[in-house]
Amino acid sequence: MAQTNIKQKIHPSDSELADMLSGVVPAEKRKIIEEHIASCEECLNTIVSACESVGSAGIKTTHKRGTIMKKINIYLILCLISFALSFAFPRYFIQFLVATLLLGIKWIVDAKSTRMLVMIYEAWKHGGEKEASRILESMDSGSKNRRW
Amino acid sequence: MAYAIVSYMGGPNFPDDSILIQSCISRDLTAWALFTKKYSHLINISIKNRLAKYGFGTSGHDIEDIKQDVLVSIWNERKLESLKNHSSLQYWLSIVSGNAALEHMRRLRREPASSARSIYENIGGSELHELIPSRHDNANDVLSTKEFSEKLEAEINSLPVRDRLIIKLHILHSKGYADIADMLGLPMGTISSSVKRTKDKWKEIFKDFLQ
Repeated sequence: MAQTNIKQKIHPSDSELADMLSGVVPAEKRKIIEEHIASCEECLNTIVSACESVGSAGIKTTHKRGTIMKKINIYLILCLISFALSFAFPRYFIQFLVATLLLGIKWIVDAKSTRMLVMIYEAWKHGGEKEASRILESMDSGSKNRRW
Repeated sequence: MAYAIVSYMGGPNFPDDSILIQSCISRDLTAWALFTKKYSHLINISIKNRLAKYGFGTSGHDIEDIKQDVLVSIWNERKLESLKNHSSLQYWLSIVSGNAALEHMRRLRREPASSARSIYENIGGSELHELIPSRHDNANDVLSTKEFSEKLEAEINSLPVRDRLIIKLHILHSKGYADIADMLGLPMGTISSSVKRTKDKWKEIFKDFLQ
């Protein structure tokens, strides 16, 4: 499993398979790897086994988590700081309050659940109730099917 | 680099993988000790998991031997240098450990405790009832017939690449939509519509085949 060439009959290398699972391979290369594993039981078993093992080991992926935390909390943190500063500097109370409001709105708009609601609303607007139900169903089955 | 590692040692967390890998590549023994400590559990699980998939019975002694082989080969053969994306370390390590486990068993000429089952025997009963409009009480009886197995295999192989991969992961490896989406980096809607499309197609095909 250590070759680097990814033609149909030659197995992708370990690092290529790992990169595919991490989502860091370019689209073109991903397509070639997918073509291979779709017909190679050995490689399919390899990636399934790797995903299960990494899931069971439950090692913290500090890098990814750090980025997500930054995305989620940065506006909330700035919003709270601005709110606190409005009391610390009464002279600029209104300015800080406006900044708090704007940052708060930005935090709400950026939140995942809000984006999900917008997505459902857009689907409902363009595809009707059927499209919206499809999105809801896929979200529902996703949460039910999460096993690793 | 060694300083970066040592500075992390007192903290509750292990250093970032990228720093750890770079330090190991620079032959920093402290970093290597941290690496082995951090990933020992993952290596153990990967070995057990991969061997179980191939029907090998394992003892704690075997697993420890294989783990030592894995770690020695990573260090001596400087395998970490071949890892271009450090964010893939966990998957890479799991794959390397699994492969080493199979290689170890081959070297010892061990046979699986239970003979390896056909992959089609792994399909769950509930999925089959959904899939096959069978007149048989037990859909597995149908699946065991050679003719049906061949037909199913041919149908799987005739699917477009992405649909084939998705249906194999869903039905043969019992993976949920969210897991497949994570694995292939696709939206969950794409996975669910692909599975639905294939199941609808198969319902028609196998209806004619069975009646």
